[in-house]
Amino acid sequence: MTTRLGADSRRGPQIISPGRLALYGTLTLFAALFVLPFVWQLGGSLKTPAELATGSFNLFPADPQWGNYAEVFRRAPIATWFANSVVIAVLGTLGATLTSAFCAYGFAVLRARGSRLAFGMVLLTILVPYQVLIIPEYIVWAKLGLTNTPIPLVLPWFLGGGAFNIFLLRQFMLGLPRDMVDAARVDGAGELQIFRRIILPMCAPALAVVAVFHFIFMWNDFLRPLLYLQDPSATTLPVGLAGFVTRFARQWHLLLAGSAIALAPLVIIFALAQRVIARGISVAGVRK
Amino acid sequence: MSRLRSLFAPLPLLQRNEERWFWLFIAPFLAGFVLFALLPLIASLALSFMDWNLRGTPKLVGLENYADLVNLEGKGKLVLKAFSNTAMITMIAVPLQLAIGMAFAMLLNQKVRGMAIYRMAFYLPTVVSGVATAALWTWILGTEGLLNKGLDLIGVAGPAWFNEPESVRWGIIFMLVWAGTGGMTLIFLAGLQQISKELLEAAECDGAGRIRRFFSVTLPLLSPTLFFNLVIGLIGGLSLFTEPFVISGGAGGPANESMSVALLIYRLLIRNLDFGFGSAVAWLLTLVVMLLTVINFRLSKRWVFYDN
Repeated sequence: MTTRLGADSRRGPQIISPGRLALYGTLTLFAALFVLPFVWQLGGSLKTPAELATGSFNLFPADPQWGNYAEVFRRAPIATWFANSVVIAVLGTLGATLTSAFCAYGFAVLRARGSRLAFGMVLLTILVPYQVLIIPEYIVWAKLGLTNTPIPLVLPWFLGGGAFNIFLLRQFMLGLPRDMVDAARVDGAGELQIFRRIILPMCAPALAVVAVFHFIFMWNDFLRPLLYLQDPSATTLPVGLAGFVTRFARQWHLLLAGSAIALAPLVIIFALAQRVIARGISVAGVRK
Repeated sequence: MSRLRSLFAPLPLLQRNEERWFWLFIAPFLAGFVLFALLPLIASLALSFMDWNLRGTPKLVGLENYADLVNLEGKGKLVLKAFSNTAMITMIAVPLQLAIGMAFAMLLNQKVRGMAIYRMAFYLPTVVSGVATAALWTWILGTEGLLNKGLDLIGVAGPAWFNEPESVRWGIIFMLVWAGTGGMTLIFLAGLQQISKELLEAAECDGAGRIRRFFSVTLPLLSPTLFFNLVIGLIGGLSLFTEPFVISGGAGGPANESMSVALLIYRLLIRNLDFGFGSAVAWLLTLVVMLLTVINFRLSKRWVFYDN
């Protein structure tokens, strides 16, 4: 510490060059552009309708109206939507993380003819937008009588867990030392044992990345719950909230409070999992 | 017979065993692929030749749905509108996301103190994108919203962004750029950080200026990342759904100006129960996405530079 201080003082008085100042200015300006709307929203959710109509530029209200939140809970089944969202996001994340790791083990560790072809199929599914599949899938779930249950939203994630997740975990597993797998095989360990006892624990950082990103994806997902959970008591927070926009048109204080409730879990996860998210981005950047 | 074949298979026992495990491990994916991608695609192709609304039995109608698709006086008019809206929004929003994302990444790639905080600030809108953010922007861009209040201060009367046919798509483009740029920024940043400093320094020694260094060193080495962002961005743009749904209450208005292809498919399915025609639209979208991706990969051979 002392040497660093000494090194700094030798450079003379700290003057920030104009170039650096411009850099920080630009970065701060854009960071504000991305963050301020959320602050406005939070402030707006605590204002009275009258204050929203006149003094919108104050970030925070003169007299915080916590009652806005109580009113939202009274006028819409927010607690139910929230619980539904949690159940669906947790189950979907569990399924996607487990099965994508399982499949990634096949692609990364096991050698087989047809492996490249099968992996090509994984990548191909990235190119098919879900929107083009909704009609037949909706018909099947409706005929099976499984709409308004979490099954259509959760079950598909237990089958493969999504191409991105398989891809990311495969990349990570390819970077692991292979000798451990070979040694375990010589010792007579089966593939399931190697997967569970050796590979899975070593993949913990990558699994965390997949879990965090998939949870965020599940929480934000809109089209699927909109299709399959049309019953207001079975639906999720985003679908309920979308209804707010038309139902509470011009009652912005309620709309803003509702969206603050929907954003809260994401902001908390975002704050808690910053390192995981940053690492996930650098993993995503490593591609061949 | 099969036992005989496997006996005479050219593979040694251990390797054959490994193959069996491979198929077992990827079995969940294969099941998911067949059940939730392949069969629905085939089913929607079949449905596109039928007339059906959930009640009764599906009726084969041949190419009638496709004839409707190109009948611009009738049903095809809205389809054309949806495709042109989606194309316009994608063609403006995605290049903006790419350009701004790359510029931000270059800025963040400097030695910046507090870099982690800036990075997180840029990424926040991407993480929380969806209905809640779209709702937030309907407020900020509303008739009496913050933006128009700001414009009032400098004496400009802003439009009712989402209530007027002329401005609604620009409002959506704005939301997409605002919410989508951060994710691209961070992927570009990861790409930039893999470019070796030595290469840039060598170029500098050879007298290459900032601009020359960018176009001759940074951009070619970043091209795989750019390509990835482009492909993913285009597919995301073409499947646009949440933003138009939220701002128009699911109607695609005003005057169908915010109707996207995905929103149209949704409406044909849920509101009209017009499964046959909806499937034809879905297949048209599939073909467009596939064609665009093939063109993209073909063109990429000319401009994407792979180091190995």
